[in-house]
Amino acid sequence: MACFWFYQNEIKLEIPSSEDIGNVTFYKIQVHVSGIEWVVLHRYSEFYDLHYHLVLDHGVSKDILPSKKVIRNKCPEFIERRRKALEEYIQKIFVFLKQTMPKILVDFLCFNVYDSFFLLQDLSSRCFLEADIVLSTNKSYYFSTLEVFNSKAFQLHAISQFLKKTQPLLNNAESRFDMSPVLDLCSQLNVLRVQGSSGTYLKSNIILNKLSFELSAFKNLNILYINNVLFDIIFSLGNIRDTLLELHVANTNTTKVCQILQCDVIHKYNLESSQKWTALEVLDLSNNNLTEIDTTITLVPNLKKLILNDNKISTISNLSSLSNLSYLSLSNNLITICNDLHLKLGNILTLNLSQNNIVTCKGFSKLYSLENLDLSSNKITEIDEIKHIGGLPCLENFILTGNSVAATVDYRIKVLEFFKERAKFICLDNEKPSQAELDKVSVLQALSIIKEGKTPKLTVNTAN
Amino acid sequence: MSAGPYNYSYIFKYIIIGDMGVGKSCLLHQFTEKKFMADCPHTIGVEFGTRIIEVSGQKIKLQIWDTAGQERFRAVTRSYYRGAAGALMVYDITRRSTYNHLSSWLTDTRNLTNPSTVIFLIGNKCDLDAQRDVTYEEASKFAEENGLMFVEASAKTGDNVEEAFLETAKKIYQSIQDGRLDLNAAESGVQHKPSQPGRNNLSNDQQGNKDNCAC
Repeated sequence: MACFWFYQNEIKLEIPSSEDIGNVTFYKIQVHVSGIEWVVLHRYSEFYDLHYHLVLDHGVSKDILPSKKVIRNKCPEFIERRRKALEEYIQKIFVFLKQTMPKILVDFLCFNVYDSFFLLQDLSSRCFLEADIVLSTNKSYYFSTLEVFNSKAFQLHAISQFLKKTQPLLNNAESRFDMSPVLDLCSQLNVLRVQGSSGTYLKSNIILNKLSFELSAFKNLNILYINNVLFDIIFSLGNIRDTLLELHVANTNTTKVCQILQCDVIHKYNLESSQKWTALEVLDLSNNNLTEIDTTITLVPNLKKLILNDNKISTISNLSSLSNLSYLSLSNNLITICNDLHLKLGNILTLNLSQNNIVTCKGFSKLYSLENLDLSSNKITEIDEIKHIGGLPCLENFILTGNSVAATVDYRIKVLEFFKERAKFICLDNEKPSQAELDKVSVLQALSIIKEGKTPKLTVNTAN
Repeated sequence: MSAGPYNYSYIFKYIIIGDMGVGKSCLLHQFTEKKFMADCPHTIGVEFGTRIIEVSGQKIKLQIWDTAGQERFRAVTRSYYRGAAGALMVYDITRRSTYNHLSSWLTDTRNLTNPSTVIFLIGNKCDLDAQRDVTYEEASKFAEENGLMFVEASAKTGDNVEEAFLETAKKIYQSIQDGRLDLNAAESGVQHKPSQPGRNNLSNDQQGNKDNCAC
């Protein structure tokens, strides 16, 4: 991203061509700042307005703008002539004004969009005006901060740049520049959304995801959403490891958990206690390219809820030491085998393994703490597999739709039968068993007891 | 109301902890099945047992997590402390090392449970008095110093097994009555079931409401 103050003398302005949009001629201004370039389109009348203000407030001489022409202003020779004249004009006034850089010229050339210095200036004045509103609503309406401060990676980069190198401040009265409102807001913010992009930024050659940034300005962050950002560009996390309660990361193409949780560490897998995310309770890494749950997950010792939907994970691993984990979701992954899950997961209450390739339920048989189990859209074909689920004493919700076993005759009754006297507490496929189903289940149970040669015990559960 | 297996008003969660081979699984088996399991295999990870008991006229369902004592399962078993209303800490009176490890078990329990969790110390295998390695007096002193309830029991003969589980339940129930234990807290380890769910849900609910009004 461009930085006006470092390359003040290398800035080049050109108007290489013009464009006809909706019968209006726009002149294409190309701004080059040391490798970075962007395009701004303006029509003549906008030049005219700019000139008017510059003459009024900044002592630009009146006669340097090419004159107005009312008729025949569409002929190509005229446009070409005007293009050259305007190019000369914009170069002239820029040389004249670049020490002061009046706001109107900054806006005209879009420096406030593409240049870190002017972008910050803009941000700062906005923060000065709006920060109090954001922070006061934040206390009562938690979520309003999300809408108000949807920070772009771009702005974060600018802030980080500022923190890295103290930039010269303008002494000009009009553009007095003060970073404190921005830093003040950042330090008090609870919720932050960072939106990156792998493409170029608007009409420039700036690639957002190549701009590194850091988060040390955020002292009180509780919830962080990161979308479409490459994690290697985050070079410091500040103290968010101690403050963050929820971290949501999506669309980053990350294949390893360590790239996220240790993004600021060079030697990954070298777990140190200083890298622990001590407060983090919810970690949502859905929609990435994760292939495994590596040991870095143990850096989140107080994790309660782990969501890893839509990844490429094939085994459940490294979760046994997370003693607070009660919710695990691995929907739409590549899990085929789940053996002895009770050795991999402790006291887990909710487990979502829908849209995987699970064939057998054997590994679930000792996951006694389970209350909600979602196995929809897997490859379970045998009704006998359900007997491993039937013994789970706390299960309340069980989803099995989308498996071929769900197409068997009397599927619901057969499944419920495995739960024996607990059948009536099981909400199967989001539906409580009906009385007719329960009656059939108890008949089947009685039959099987007789088959085993024992006299059925007359416990009257369902009939009364 | 009929005495079906699901007529209970509370669920209490227990965890049984202690060194390998002190008889945790046997205690659970003795309590739930009233039988002694002679060749009890090592617990892999965790086992589970349940029984309905009665305390002060209230039916209470005990959900008991029987954890593996082996060190290699420690990571997994740690998670079961969460939401336990009662912790039964077991040692073997014939093996001093199991008694010596109690303080580390106690630290774990205190760190990972909530303050209202009732901790009960059980000295198991008291039928083997001839091979005794830990005296009743010192264990009872340890219990007193740490504010634990204490009993010596035998999973083999069944002595005091019932009492240990029941006394723990009584203490928890007492905490509920005193208001020391918050039923609404997620990790209290106690669930209140005001009425029997199922067919006569509606009528029971109404009954329950009436009861509330009368108070």
